[in-house]
Amino acid sequence: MSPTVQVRPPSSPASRVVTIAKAHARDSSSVVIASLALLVLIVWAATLNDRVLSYLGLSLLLQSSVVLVFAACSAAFVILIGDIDLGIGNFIGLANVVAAVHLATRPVVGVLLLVAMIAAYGALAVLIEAVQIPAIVATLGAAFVWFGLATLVLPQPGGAAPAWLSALLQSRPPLLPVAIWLALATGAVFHGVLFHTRTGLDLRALGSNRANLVRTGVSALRLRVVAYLVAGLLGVLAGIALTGITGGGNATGTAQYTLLAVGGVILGGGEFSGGRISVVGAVLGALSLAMVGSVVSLVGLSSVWQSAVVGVVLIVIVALRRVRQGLEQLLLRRQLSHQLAEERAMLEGGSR
Amino acid sequence: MTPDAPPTDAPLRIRTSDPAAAEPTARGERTGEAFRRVPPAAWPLLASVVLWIVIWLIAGRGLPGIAAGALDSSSILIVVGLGQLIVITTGNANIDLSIPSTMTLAAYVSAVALDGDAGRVPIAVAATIACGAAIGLVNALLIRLFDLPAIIATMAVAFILDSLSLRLSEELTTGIPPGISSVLASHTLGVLNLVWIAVAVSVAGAFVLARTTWGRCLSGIGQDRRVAFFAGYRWRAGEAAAFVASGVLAAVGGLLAGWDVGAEIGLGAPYLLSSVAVVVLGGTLITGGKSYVLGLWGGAVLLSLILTLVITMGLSTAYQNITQGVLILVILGISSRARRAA
Repeated sequence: MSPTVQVRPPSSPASRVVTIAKAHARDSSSVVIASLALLVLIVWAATLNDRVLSYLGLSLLLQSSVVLVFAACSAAFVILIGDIDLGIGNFIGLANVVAAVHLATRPVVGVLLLVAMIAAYGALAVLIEAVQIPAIVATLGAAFVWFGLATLVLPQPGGAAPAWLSALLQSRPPLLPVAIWLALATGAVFHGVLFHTRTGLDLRALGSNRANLVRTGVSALRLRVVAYLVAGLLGVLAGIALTGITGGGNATGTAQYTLLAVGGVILGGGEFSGGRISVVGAVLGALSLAMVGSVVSLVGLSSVWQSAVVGVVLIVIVALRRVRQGLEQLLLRRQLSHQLAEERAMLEGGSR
Repeated sequence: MTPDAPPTDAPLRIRTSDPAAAEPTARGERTGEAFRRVPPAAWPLLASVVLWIVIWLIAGRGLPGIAAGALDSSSILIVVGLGQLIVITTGNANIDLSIPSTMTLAAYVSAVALDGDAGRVPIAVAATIACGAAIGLVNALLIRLFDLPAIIATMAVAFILDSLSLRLSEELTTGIPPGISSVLASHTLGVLNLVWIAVAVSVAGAFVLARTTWGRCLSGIGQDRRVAFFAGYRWRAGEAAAFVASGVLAAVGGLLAGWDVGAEIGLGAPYLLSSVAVVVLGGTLITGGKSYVLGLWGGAVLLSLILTLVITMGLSTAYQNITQGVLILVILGISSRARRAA
């Protein structure tokens, strides 16, 4: 703060703390909605079948969610900087077949190929930033390439998961199923990256106020590459997890993750305006989406309706968020006018 | 093909992703000047011609045959792509992700409405178009009521439509009467009837976009909503109508595909990416405000010629996807360089 005269009317430190706390509450309330949705789904499932809450029940219910958790986190890092990734589903498919073909037999080749895939995501970021191809188009072109490469690596479903991978995904860690531990770890690590590192701060700034960030001398190119490398890493992890769960590779059938991943981010409170996403929310959103299928079958609805329930849940959650934002704005406006009147009265009182 | 001349230049500049874009160098300016003289829709057409001759050299097959084959296989993509083009033209990162699901559902709706009876064609067509319009209306309402990004609203709707298609597939017992498929697959004046439908739809689309108030409204709101508003366009209704149009065109595309090859789950799936690809390949700005219906043909023919090339060379279809992807990146790279320099 400069020692010159303050122009703005003074606000008490207490009110400033309240404002900051409110901002935090606003950001985390989206996460609260996502976790509430997850809780409702779990409780609902539990009332239908009491074995759901057992260790084994939860393991079975959430087994396949690992892929979606990684996919949603990947999408979160792309949406964070204001982009959208139309290729993540096919990218997961490519990672899936590469892992299934190489990881068990030639681990070194497999790891090198997977690392090369992550690097390719970084190159995509360079293409977007330096050549200025819109991200949606660049990832669209890349989607065709990933799919082509995947069918080249493994034209017919096949391959095998390495033993350590299957063992890891079928392991029984204490307290919680392995899927939940993995989700917690992913959420914690990437939340940490985003909210407790300098680069994470810059990434969020890139999404919300790019022009000002660039003026401070930060390289937008470097940041976009970092975001895409993280997204690529998470996409590769999703592909590896898929290999472990299905026990093999399949070049087709992962395209659905493109939309589901975005759905997870949205459920978790992410906004498309850039800079406003929550990794923890994305993890919870992904878990909720993965639960929907199980709940639909537990309720006794035909599996035909599974996808429709996902759609309705998305609409309801987003609609609720809009209603809440509308109410908040109304309250905020009222409060502001109140505060202004008070401060004006105070200033007038002081000058007299 | 400039449907709209913006009233003033300064406030209407399309924002590129980098507001702090570097000043073009002298060399960049010169190449940019050369690039700028080429209309964007010409790039895929040019590439198509080159590819066309390459295939002719490799296969030794007649040139007209290759061209006809490419046109035949791109006609449905053009119908569907026109809907995507209309939505993308409205800007604001608008995109219709419900197109593939709408197509699949329309294929089933039309087949069920037809009920194996060729005499029920008018009913089936009306039901399908109504279905597409309803889907577009729901998309538009969700976007407007909850102030959602189009990408989320259309995605959520797509999930719901997928379930409806699955449900309808359980109802469907009758096939398409062979008479109908043969009408679509027969030729008039040496050109496939399916292609004539695509020609009619895109001529109508080009006319509407360039010459009607609604078409100008679409480019206007794609360039700048406020300016469109002050210019007196009813931009909310215009945007909603764009989604309805996209829904109707996707339904028509789904009906044609369903009557041509039969309804199946996943019928629309390939069109998610390719409907966007033909739009951007054709030079239409993904940021909205400028559209090229002719470019749609260039893009679609280019994509299907790549398939022809891969097949003629005896390669795996994996190379088809890789080549398509690389071409999208290269062509868009060139044209965005040109735009930046210009």
